[in-house]
Amino acid sequence: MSLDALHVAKGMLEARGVSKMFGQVRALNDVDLDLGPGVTGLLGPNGSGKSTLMKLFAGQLLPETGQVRLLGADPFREPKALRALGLCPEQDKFYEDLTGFEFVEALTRLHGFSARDARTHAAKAIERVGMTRDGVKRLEAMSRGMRQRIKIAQAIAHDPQVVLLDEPLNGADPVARADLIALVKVLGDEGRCVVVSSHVLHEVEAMTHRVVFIRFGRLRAFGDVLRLRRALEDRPYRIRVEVDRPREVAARLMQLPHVRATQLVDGELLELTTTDLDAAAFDVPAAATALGTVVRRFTSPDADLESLYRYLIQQR
Amino acid sequence: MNAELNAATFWLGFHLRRNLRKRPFVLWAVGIGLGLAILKFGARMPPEPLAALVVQLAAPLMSLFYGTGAMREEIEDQTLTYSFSRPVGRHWLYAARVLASIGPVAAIVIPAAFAAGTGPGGEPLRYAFGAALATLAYGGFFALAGELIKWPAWFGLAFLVFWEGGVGQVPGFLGRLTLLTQLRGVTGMKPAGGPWTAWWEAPDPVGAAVALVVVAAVTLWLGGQIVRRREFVLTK
Repeated sequence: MSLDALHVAKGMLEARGVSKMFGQVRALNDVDLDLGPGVTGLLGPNGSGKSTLMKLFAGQLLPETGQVRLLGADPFREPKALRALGLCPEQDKFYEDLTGFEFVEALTRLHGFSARDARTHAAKAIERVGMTRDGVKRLEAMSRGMRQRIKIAQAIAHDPQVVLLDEPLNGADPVARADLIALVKVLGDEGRCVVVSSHVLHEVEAMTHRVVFIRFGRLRAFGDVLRLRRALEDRPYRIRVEVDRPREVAARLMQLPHVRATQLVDGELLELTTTDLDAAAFDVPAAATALGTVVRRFTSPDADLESLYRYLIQQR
Repeated sequence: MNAELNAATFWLGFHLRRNLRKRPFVLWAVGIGLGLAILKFGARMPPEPLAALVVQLAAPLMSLFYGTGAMREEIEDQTLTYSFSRPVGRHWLYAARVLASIGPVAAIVIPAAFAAGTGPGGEPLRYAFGAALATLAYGGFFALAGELIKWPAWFGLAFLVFWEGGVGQVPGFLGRLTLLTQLRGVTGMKPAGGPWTAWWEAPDPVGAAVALVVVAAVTLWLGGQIVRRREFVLTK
């Protein structure tokens, strides 16, 4: 079953047959991946290999086998390629004696900017993450959410083409989360290749529909959530419909070839199992209309990222 | 390369400023300053042995403390990721980090050696020059040890006591293999005493200075090459 459902410009980040060991532990196993512009969610449970893949893309680690390419260059051996990279690492570590501004400015200067240019870029990045007022605080005095924003600011201050965000929303409060999710989407819309690793599914779902699933160091699936879901044909969708006269609607729907089963839940709620979500979206209202009633609610608990994740993670 | 050099120079200044603001620097400065004042004005110690304490004891010990921690601090603090994900060669960053680490040593031992050397029979400029070379050579060496050895502080202490302190007293070819003997050649200081003092011959000052610079350059270059090729696993 082919799960690669992406049809976008690729080649900004590439992994070819990449494996990585830590002692006896195989953190990544024969991973092939090709990412282009836009936001990609890197999903998997803790210890699945997400951060290892991020570090390989960022030139922090060397693969045991295979190749990693950042805009066609080896990020470990050709540090100049890192000009195009912005990395927000997972760990909550800083030069604690600095202010947020000083921290971002110092790291921006390592990209070859003059002091004045670095200051301008740092100020813009700090503004983008909503830290203009608090950026003058020392990092050791900042909350976890503020530190997280500063970490993202240092990753985007030099205007990189590729942005790697490892668990970027850790510790952020709900307002900050919403802001950062919006920022990630904008970064993707600007044509950057943005990779966001997370094990919090609804956050990734809010940022993108393009996801990569990793489990036990192996790439389990890669592509658009809905297309991936469709590719898993052996596991039909459940749809919940709130409608009057649900028994009659159920009897009518059972005659359709894509409907496998129907079940009444709580009186007026009809749950049906289908192999074709698109057809169901058309046929269910049509069946209700034919019986002189209307569909009040139509939801699919299986079409979201959470259910896909659960399904893929359960697979060995 | 120019851009990398500029970035590395900035990184050197950035970490040097941070190191000079940290508590250990203040403690070292106060400790050595006080000790020097007590020995010079209280105990009326002559310039040469007093300067020898600075150049041959304080400089290597401080270089051990700062040199071995040059990269280790960033590894243990997990801040290495930030600089190593920038478009600057790791060997440049390593050199910047090592020089920034031994900067506080130089900031203390060079003026201390100069101050200790003032007075009758003293050669303050020569001692200060020796302190600078000692900082570079020991700093580069201990930074390399910090890259290669798991417990560099213990290795460094053993090196200073047994190799420098022991073999450094032996006259002839073997003794010249120590940094201490070369340092004595630069500063014109003689061994304090011991069974072989009568046979001791001072190395040529220029040759000794060149030897110390070569040690500093080679250890710095080797350390840079190791860092360039090595992967640093901060978290798994």
